Amino acid sequence: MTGRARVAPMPQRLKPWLFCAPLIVCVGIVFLYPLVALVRYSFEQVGSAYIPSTFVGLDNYRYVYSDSLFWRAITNNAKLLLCVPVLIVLSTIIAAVLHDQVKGWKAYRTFVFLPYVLSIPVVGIVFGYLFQQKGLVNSALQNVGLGALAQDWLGTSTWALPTIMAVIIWKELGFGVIVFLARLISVPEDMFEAARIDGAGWWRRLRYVTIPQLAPAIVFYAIVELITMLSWVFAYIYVMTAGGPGNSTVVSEYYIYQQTFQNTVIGIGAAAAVTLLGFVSILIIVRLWLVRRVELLGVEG
Amino acid sequence: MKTRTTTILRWAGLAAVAASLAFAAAGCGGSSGGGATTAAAPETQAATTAASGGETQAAGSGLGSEFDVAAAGDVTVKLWWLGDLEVPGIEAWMDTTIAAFEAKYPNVKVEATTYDTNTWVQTQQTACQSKTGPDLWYNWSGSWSLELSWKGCTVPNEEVLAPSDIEANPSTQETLWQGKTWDFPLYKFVYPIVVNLDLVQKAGLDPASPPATWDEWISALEKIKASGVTPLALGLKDGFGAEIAAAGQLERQAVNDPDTLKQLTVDGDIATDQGWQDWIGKLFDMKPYFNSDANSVTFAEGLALWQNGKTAMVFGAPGVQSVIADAQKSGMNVGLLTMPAFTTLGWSDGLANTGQGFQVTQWSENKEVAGAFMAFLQTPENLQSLYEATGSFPTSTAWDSSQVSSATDQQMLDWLGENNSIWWSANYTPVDLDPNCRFVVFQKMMAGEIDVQGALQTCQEALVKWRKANPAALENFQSWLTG
Repeated sequence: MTGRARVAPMPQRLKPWLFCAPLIVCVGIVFLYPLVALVRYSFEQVGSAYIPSTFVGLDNYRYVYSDSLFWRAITNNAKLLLCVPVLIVLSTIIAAVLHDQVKGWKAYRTFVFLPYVLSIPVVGIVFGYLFQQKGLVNSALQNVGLGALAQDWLGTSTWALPTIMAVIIWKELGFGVIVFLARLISVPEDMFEAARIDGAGWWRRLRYVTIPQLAPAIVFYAIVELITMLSWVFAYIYVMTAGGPGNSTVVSEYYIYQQTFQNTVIGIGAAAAVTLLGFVSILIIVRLWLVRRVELLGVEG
Repeated sequence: MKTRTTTILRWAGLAAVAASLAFAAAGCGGSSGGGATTAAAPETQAATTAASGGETQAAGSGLGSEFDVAAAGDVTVKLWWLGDLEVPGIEAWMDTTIAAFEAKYPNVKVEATTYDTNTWVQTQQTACQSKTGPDLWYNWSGSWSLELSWKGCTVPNEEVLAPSDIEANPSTQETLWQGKTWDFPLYKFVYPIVVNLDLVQKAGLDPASPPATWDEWISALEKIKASGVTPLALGLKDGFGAEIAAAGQLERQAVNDPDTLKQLTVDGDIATDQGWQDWIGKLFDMKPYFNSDANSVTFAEGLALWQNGKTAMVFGAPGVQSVIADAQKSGMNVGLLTMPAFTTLGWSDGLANTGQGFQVTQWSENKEVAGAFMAFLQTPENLQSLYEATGSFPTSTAWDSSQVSSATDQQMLDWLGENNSIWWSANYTPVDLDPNCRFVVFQKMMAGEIDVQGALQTCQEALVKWRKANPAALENFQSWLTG
């Protein structure tokens, strides 16, 4: 036998997989394994290192779906979704005003964006103080003769969630404004100029030029904020009300936290988390579908 | 600008809740047979198996204070605890005490690590899942300690301490289960009502004649309120104030002994329980006398109202001795009360207290040395220096309390001398009753959103939910009730 044995060439189509394999393994460990474990826990009464976990079938899901607190949490998430149209409208108007480059618009842009870069715990703590019954907001109302409007903003079930919603809108608005402004800057100025020449006023330009041009950004922003309201508000709740008063501001994330870490019923927390995962996955799919539709409409238009 | 990746990452953040548990479970997977039990009551049986543990020496044969540490070879003992977060000043004392232990036994090194209270239970659970963690950890008493013992994570005192060590520490009885004790308390939390005597006198009340009946108590509160001062400080935003007021003063009066609460947990009905009707009714009687902003301030902010002279009284909480000392330093004239009895049950009259201490973990390879270290913390000299450093009362009878000079401390010790067994009632009910019963009831009461019947119903629903979600824990409570 002479020379080296010939190695069969690797099929071309396998090469990309080979190169991607380390990353796929890495992503699998970081994302996939926890998700699989989460689903597994949702069917178990989770034990410890010294006692076995017990398979309980759908019991954890039955518990979650029969728990009035879980549905209250979902209802609160649904109420938080009302923030999204408010954010879109305000972001659109503010972005349009800034796009007109009113005097000092760059400074306004910075001011509007500033809340977005602040950490949620800081925002939560500051607003927690402001909205105390004897806090600055009520003091200010009393000083200007509007004491009748003063409320225990975070201390009553009626006002606690709307107050948190107001804080979320204040914080998230800057992101929408920047996204929309960036989109508007990329639109050729000719379109706005043509509308002006045709005699369109500010509102008509907004209706017929600005909003259509913003459509992809609005879809993007709306879906991101919908997901935010479903699965990224834990910190606001934890810092501002801890789910109170009387569990009136519990949202699905907080419910999962309560079950998993306070009550240490990991299986039930996992079942709630899987349910939330389902909701958010649907939203992500809707987002992808909508983005594709908007792109297609853009191409066809 | 946010991207799709960011969106997915956001969701992944939620999934991270599971991630930590999942990785912890990786350690659990291969060793879950440690319990080797049936599904019926796995936790109880696992703990029983642990209790019989073959890794340590037989009880009584040179454990704890009798253990020959010098002959144990080179050992590092790891301690996880909450340090100053629980008792201000205790970390410095611990450092000094560890140094003394290491000087006495040069073959031993003790590494103490402090953790955050808010994540403490989670930290312990994760350690137990993965069997990696300290040789001994801090724990609260009652069900807090036993929950981990039932999971098989800790060993009983009897396996690491001498009988004389345990006998000298009556607070070990708070975790008595299956004839063994599962936490070795070091110091007590005590729960008096702390009074600004100047404000009380200003209201025309005589501090020398504190209210002895419920009617006198309400009358006193009314007089204080009429003088323009808020009678009682309460902070409920973080829920903590509700547990302090309930377990420290009100709910305990519905208790005859720990079995009252265990029985209630196992098969009781809060909605029809006379004791619960009594204490929740009394709570509602007191509503007009709390600060009206209780729901929007935390427990600490509520305490600050009292410290700033804006309320006449506050419910004492862990670290009350240092609160009293600071107030006295600032010139406040401080007195103490306990809530007048409104029932005739065993825990109705006196000072609630609970011992906080340490447990040796099941996976520790240095159980005997860890036990010896726990015993060393409780030598008479170390207990005295603990009191001097923190103001907290040691639980051990080895502490010579005759050296106490503070009038308020002496008052509390006198009350404890009359009845040392009014324990923390929240330690004998499921933890769920805090967020879903006590916190909810207090917060909704202050918001005017619930009445007494609604409160009782809320608590009963919380209890029923807990039973449904925790069948294994329910069996453990049953086991605890029967011995």
